Amino acid sequence: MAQALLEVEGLTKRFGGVVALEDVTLRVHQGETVGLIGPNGAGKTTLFNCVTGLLRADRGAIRFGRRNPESLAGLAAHHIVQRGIARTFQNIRLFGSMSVLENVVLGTYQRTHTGLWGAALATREARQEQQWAAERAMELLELVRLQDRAEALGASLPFGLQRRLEIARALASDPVLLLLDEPAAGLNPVEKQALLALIQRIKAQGLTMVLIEHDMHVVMPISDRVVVLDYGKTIAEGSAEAIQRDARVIEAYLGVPQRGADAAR
Amino acid sequence: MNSFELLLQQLANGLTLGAIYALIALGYTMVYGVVQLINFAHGEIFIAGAYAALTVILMLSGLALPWWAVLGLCTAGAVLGCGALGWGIERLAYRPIRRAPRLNAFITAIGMSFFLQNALMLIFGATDRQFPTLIPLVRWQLGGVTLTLIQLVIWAASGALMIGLQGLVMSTTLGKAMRATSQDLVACALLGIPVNRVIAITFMIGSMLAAVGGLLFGLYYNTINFHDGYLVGLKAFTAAVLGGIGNMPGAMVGGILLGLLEGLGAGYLSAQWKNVFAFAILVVLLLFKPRGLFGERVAERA
Repeated sequence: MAQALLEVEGLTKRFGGVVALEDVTLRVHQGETVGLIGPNGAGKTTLFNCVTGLLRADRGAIRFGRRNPESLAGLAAHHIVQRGIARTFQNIRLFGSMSVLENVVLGTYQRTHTGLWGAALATREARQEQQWAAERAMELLELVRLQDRAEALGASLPFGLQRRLEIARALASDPVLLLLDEPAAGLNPVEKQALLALIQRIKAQGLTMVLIEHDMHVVMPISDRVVVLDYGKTIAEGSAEAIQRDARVIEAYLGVPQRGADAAR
Repeated sequence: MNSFELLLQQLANGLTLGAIYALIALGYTMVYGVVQLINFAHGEIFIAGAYAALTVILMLSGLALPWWAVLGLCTAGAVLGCGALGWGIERLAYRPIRRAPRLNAFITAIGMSFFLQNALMLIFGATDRQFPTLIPLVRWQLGGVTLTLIQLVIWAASGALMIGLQGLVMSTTLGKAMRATSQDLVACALLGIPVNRVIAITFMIGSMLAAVGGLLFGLYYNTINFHDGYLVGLKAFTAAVLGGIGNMPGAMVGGILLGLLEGLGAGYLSAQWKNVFAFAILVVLLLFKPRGLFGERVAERA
């Protein structure tokens, strides 16, 4: 089997007495779209938080990189982005009082080189980079079909469009791996269809994705592979069809009542 | 001097004081914006700026340099010194407890204020220090109103700094990063923005503005005392609250408004009661607009 792009091995994370993740293993290969499903509290968002450096795992390894996989343990969040991992949030986290364009421009930050002081001094290089960032941001706004709203404030967009903006902002860092945390949550059926089409477009560009999602109508058509978490453990893994027939998955989803909010909150 | 001239004179005096308050208030409000911390040591940073400028002036006193050269060098000394001080305070006192409960940071800030007050007293003495009149004493009579060159310098310097700061915050990448950090620090980190550096730079810029405020204060009043940091700092904090803490244009307007109110209070009521007058206005305003004049951003966060 080819070398994985993202390799999570034996990852364990506890919050006090609660085990959010227990010995979780996940491999994501270049170009793949992996659906990550499981009931609320199964540890899906916690897994994203560990990979992106917001949380530190108690045990286990996270390696990332195609040719020379590198451990992400102990790296600050902004250094992990530099290595090519971007994400969106379940509860959208836009900069509400900044414009749509500014939100995406900020996403390009780690692709620029002048740094904060150069930016403050408005050197020629910094101005050229700002120009570049604005153009790149407009391209991404076109990709998510928000080019006409560039000057609107982030908070003024309807919910469905805020999700798209968040995806554009994540793409602005030019990631190798995109982690989408419940991108379809709270969307109406029309918005869901549009989102699905957007994810397909991103996938067609060859981006590797991991997608947390409850809605099987979203997960199944786009996932090459589905991984099921329950109580912090991987309980099943396989093609979308196989997962839908898996008895453990059916039990985890149908037999157990929902256990409150996601553990990561 | 007729009553209209008296009014104009008090407004001119108030505007001068208000410009200094505004420069200091910006530091309170910028720091609050990015880390939701009231940096109580900011008043001490302000007066440290005045002392740093004084130190440079005294060091240069034997060289017989022209006054504008001394002014330039002492500005540079104050700005660099306070920038370093602000950076150091953030790095050593506030950053280690950034994830701790809000009350810890609050108490640390008060402790830092006391520490700096006493450090300044030990280094520069407890008594008033004479601050040289660097800027020539030029006066103009416009109608019945007297304007001095120092006042014009204060207005011009604060105006230029405020316009520059507004440009920096609204249109540069650094400014965008600062505004974004103030809204969602975690989302910023996940876009690859080095939030710790953004916060450190915010402290530095706020401290540099306070340093200029300190220098201008020294030039205007000609004596400085380590206690001034506390009282003037409190007034500037009041100005920031008046404008809506976290809102930069609010801090500018709040500072100037407070200066004008004090000027009028001193002119028409009693100079001794000017503090009461200023704070009373604040209390009344906050009764009706608890978030200050332009405080929507706090409302959004709460």
